[in-house]
Amino acid sequence: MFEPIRGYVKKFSLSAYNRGAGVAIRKAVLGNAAGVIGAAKLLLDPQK
Amino acid sequence: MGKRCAIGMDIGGTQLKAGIVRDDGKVLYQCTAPTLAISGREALLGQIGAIANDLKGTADEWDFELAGTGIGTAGFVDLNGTVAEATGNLPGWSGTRLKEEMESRLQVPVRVDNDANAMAAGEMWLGAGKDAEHFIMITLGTGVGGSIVHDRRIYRGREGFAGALGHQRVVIEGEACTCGQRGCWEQYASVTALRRLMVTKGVQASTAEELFEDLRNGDPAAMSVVDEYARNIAVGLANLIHVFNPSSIIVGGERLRLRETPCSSRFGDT
Ligand SMILES: [Zn+2]
Repeated sequence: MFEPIRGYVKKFSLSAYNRGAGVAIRKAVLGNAAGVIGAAKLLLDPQK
Repeated sequence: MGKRCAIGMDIGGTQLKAGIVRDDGKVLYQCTAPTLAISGREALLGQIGAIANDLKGTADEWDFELAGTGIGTAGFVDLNGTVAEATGNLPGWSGTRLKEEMESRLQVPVRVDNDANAMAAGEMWLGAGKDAEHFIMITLGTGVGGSIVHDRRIYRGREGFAGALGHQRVVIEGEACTCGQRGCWEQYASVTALRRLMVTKGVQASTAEELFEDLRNGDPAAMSVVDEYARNIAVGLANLIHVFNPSSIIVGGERLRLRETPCSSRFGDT
């Protein structure tokens, strides 16, 4: 799924100053735990 | 280090996830339950409170100092921890003073944020955004969630509602969206939209997993669906790249689901 997305982003941005070049499009790595970890972080390391 | 923890909760339209997280980010325990979404506000508050209380008891048993409970929820969350506007998936959730309600029920500090912001905070801390100063997070699920990270802080805007990237309009008179607009990106890039595309293109597969299996086997209809879906996602990403000039875009979603433990039978099983 990521390869065709990257391909199209590249294609769309080529004609628009090539702004998509150098933007890494990556998969989230924490999966289902991301929201739980991030919500807990609001208390463990409070920042606005 | 290691004796301090917090409870983290992620309230989605279909699933509620909760866990005990140590101060170094290690998830000591995580569970999931179907969100009591259609039963109304009181039922959902009761469910969140019961699960959080259960986890609080566990943290006590383990002799951890509990910093409080953090909640990420679907919907527009203001700077006071109130769900100002719910999504169509959580009827009755609009106007819920979630922070206040939970602090009175749990007697611990509570902080509330939008679910995509919470995911971005998690990825920024320990995941794909660890080394990124500026990134955009999008979550592909029932809808499309978003979060903007600038200088390693979540950009919130005037009222806390920034990051609703799924409601950028990509088609002027397009599909009707739950927000009242037409042509929102989430109507084309969400998993819901993928399912719709699968039906209109007449693929045999009924789940995303089957679709990708068909794709690997070279099925032309599956290839056409994936191609169009990738294109739909990329249109929105290209817009975001122009607006934010990010170093990376992190894509999360329900297809990245891991194995899960049900919270407890009394909260409803998965
Ligand atoms: Zn919309």
